[in-house]
Amino acid sequence: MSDDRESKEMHAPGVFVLSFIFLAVFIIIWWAHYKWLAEVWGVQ
Amino acid sequence: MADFKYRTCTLSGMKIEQGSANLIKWNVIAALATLAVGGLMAFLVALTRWPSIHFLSLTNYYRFLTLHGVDALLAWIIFFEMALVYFASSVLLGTRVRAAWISWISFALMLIGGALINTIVLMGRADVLFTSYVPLKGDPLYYLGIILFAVGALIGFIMFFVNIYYAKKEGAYKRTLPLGAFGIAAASIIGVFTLLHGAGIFIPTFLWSADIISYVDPSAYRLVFWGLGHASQQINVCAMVAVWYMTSAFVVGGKPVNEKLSRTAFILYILFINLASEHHLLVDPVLSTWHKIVNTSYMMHLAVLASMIHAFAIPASMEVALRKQGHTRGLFEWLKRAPWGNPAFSAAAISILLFGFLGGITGVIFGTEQFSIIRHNTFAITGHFHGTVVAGTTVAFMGFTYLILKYIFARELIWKGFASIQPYLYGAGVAMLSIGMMSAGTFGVPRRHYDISFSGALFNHTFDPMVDIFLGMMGIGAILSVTGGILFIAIGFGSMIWGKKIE
Repeated sequence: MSDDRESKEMHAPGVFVLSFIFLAVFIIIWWAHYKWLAEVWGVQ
Repeated sequence: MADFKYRTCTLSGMKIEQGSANLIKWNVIAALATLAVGGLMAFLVALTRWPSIHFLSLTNYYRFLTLHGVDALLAWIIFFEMALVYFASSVLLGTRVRAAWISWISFALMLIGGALINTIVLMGRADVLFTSYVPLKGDPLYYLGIILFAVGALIGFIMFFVNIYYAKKEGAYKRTLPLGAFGIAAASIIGVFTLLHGAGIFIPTFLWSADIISYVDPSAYRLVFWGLGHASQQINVCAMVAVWYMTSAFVVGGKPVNEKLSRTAFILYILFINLASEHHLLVDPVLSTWHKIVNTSYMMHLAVLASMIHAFAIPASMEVALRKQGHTRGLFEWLKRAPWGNPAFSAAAISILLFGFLGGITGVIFGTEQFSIIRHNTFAITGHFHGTVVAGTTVAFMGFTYLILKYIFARELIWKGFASIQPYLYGAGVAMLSIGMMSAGTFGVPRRHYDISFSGALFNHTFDPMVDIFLGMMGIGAILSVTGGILFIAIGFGSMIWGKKIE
């Protein structure tokens, strides 16, 4: 039982939060590229 | 029977055999020397691409760009990887390099090959750039230099497997390799097939340049060359990730949160990372559309999955280790209390951050088929690979050099204050350089181009004025990173010579 509890405990909550920041930046840059494709190169 | 002398490192507790340490030392020395030449070339080339300065003449620009590619992308990194190969297969396992004379032959071949390439390029007999696309022809000695260098490196990577085979036999490790050595094993596997591609294409190209055979098919050249050209960058990624794990372990006592997952991620690299590099061949008519789409999407994402696993597993290992040291307040006390003044740690952290945000994100985007076709010949790609290979690999290797200086050379660092700021200076410079290049590329600035004002051309073309700002940003980034690079080389060689001996 105690093993089960330990395995569910979050060991690195800081990195867990940082990973969302990375994800947000990733999505913003990707989206900006699609926008750039559409505006600069006229790709629909 | 030869007598092998071991010493125990007082800082790390590792058992180090003298002969193995010498191999590591000389490969690091060669790596630093080639980085110095490659970095000088980088500076001159960057000053030329900065339109306000436009420093070099036309011929010297392409000559020095060729040399920059060879020394900074190939020689510095592969010499350092050879040091890592010997470190991971001997010191890390508490054993020694087997048949060291073969490893010295490997080193000699790489040294002779590297010297030959540098000489021939500086003599102006091979202004063919790093890719040396056929039918562009250089002096046969240039290709011979690359073959010698590649064969030397191939022997080095093969020796990794010889060393771990004997280490296993003598019980230096039980079931499987420690994670750092496992990462270098993955790099060595990629290294072997990468360098076989190199031999496979440069031997016929050498014969063609010497007029022994009459023709090398340009499509075949491009296909096989990229089995070397891009795959060699995948050795770098693998070795860099292994260095991140090892630095986390050495500096803060980090252990992977889930070792099996990290090992699986290395296997994903071996299986998929090179297939993803098909973006060099997207406009070649010989490959089918199906083939191109599968490789630049599914295969690439499987390789990216591996990078994402490492990118979170390593900081998580640092967080867990620092929390165990008592830095448990809130979400980020561990981050605040991390050893930011230790250049080995700060370099690894900067490398992870910049590789992820600059090299990684842009790699996924630019590697996608639709973007790749539009972006491929722009300066944005140059910005991308300076985000991976320089901000990622080079910074990580710089950090690990500081550890090798202490553990293997048994020397204290000189100029400790400068050493602690060096990774920040270099990292900030490379980040500016990379972002400047990528931003200029977004406006269509071509890569590898001597004069984007097209002066004297029959047609007239001007770029958006924003381009000048971004290329200026690149130039300032180059000045900062070269300053950081000079500091690194000075501290590196200075510590080897004048650093206080660690007993």
